[in-house]
Amino acid sequence: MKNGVITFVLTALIVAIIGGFAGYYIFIKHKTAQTQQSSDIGDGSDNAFGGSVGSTYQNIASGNDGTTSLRADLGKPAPRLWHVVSTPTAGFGFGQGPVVYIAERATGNILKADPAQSAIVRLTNTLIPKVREALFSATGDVLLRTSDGDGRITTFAATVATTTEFTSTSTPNVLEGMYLPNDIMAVDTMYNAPTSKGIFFVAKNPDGGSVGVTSGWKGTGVKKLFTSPLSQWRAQWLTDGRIVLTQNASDDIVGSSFIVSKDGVFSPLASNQPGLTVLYHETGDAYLYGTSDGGTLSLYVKTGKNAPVKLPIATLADKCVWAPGSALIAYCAVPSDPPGANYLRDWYQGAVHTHDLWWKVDATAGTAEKYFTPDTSASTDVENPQIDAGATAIAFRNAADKSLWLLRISQ
Amino acid sequence: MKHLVLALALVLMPAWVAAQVDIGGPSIFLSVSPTYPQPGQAVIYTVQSPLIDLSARDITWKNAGAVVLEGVGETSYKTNAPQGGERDDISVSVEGISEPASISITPSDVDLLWESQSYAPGLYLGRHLPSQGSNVVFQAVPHISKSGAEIPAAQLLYVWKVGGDVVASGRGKTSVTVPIQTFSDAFTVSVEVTNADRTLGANKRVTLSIVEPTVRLYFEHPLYGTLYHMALPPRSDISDTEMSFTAIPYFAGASGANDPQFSYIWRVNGTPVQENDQRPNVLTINAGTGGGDAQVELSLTHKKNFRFDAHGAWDVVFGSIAAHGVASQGAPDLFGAGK
Repeated sequence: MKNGVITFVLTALIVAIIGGFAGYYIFIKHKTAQTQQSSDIGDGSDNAFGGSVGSTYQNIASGNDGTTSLRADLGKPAPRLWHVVSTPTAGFGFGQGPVVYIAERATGNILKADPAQSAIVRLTNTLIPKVREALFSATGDVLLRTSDGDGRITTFAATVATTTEFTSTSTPNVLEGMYLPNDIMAVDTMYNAPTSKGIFFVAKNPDGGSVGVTSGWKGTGVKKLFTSPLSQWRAQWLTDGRIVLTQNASDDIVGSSFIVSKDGVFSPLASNQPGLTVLYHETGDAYLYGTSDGGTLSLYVKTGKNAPVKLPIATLADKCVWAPGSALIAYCAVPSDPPGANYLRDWYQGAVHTHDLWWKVDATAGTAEKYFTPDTSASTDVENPQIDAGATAIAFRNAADKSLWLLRISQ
Repeated sequence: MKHLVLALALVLMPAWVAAQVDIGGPSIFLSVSPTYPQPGQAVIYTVQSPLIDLSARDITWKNAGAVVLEGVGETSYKTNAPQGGERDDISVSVEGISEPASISITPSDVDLLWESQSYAPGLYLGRHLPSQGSNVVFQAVPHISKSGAEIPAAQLLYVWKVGGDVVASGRGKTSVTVPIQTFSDAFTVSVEVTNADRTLGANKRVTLSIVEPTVRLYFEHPLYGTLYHMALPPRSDISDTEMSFTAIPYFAGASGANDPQFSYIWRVNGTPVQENDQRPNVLTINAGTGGGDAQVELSLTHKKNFRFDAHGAWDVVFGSIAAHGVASQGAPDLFGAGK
């Protein structure tokens, strides 16, 4: 009887141990399956940040932990549509490789995302809180812009030391730089000429209006190009040194765009168009322009001296990006449903958001075709799309939450 | 009878002579409308004479020497002005008149740009719109060429009008600032730009609608600051039980959201709320551990501009289950709680 009891207890113990191991195995296998699930969509906010993430990020992102089954797989190429950072970003820019430099909105810390490895590392840990806007050079140097409640704007120009290859175990650097003049209303970098690290900006003139200048990255070598009684401009600095200056847009309000020469001479580009938004090709004689007139969005392409061609897509030039090269190809995010009246105003005020589909525009042929349709779980309202030098991927922010996404172009 | 015939002959003779022979001098005049056509704009050239009847004469129109219109009584010629940088040399000849009349048109244009100095938060990408009490800045960007070269804007003469009244003029006066103090819903501004001898010029007119300022409400996040990309819809469900909100009076005629001339009157569920001394446009609501529904109302007035009166109302449900996992009715999942 005693032996029987002992045998029963031992058997039960063995069964419990085996059962425990089996349960643990099944549990782990299930978790592994979750993290390795292949998909066209990925949320890299957790794995991708790995252990190099600062506490701020972890605090913000803690809600994302482990509950999503669609994510990038660290060490492997990112999925075609990668949700790189799910928390609000201030801005981003492509570096070499391609990698994507990212500025956190909450901290101003600079991150680097590598889509080839689905990895993100923190490059700097200098706290600059509540950054609204960030622009990068191709080498990762950054302009961090903030604004206070009264509308005052600051711009911090910083250099990110990149002599050392960062890994997940690297110690983040201090972000060193200096403040440019206050109230820079519009700014653009000479993105495609990284060695020059130049910037163009339009700053409010204390006497009224604004002044347009070029300078080195940290405000050195300032050259005044023009003064204007107006200050609400959007600027695009072209590779050849010219500047496309476009009035801020609003629905049904006519706007004009100019090419400003390196000597500051204005030449009209597009005049008196309602709700005008413009995107000029970096190297070719072509530009996209959008209008918002009577509740209708229209997008046109103009090449050389040819008459503008209206494209079969209703979107803004703000939602488009030109592919590099001479082929005059652009990618545009197009709202799936036509937005209503006052869309531009409401969109700029964060009062309306859309679910966008990607279209590919052939400017030479004046045609557009649907290119990529994200599923509803990856609904994004695209803003500020950028493309890498090799035309392999488009990075963009979701205007609805300022998170960062990456869409791979080449398969 | 003889005297009558003689008298008629004396009266009619000059007209008959004028009809048959060249009377010399500036007997025909050529004009163009509009006076300063824009590139590609429809234009009409008209020949007139104070001395002779042109309706029975053969009239020939030429552009740069090439005949473009010919016929009896063709006293006007309609066409489009050439494109920018190009020139039309129009001449008209009238049968019996030795001297043709001519005019050269180099289309000129002027872009009339404007922006309001009304308030919008820094880094706002849209155009500021004019409202009562704000100023609007206008800039003329002329494109007037002579001998193939564009005349610098500073060398041209400008006449600015608001509602038909001249408000500014002078050489190089490329911009004006117009305060909006009208009771109407719109106002018109025009500019005429000419060279010194007024042989070249352009004009442009724009009518602007005066808008009512719009108040938007945003979440004031402790880490991210004001979430300008997430304006609150009329109803929001949020998972948190305490939240701060920032009101932004877009396009108000003010120096900022906390302009000392503003009076923010907040109410939550009908109860007035003491305003924040430092930032009166910010409201913090603590709904307690259980959360609840907050009917937020804002009335914004201006101490000097009695016509300024902006309102907003929002329904915010704190601690809402609906906010978990779902961005209900556009409500943001601020802290990722639902993921």
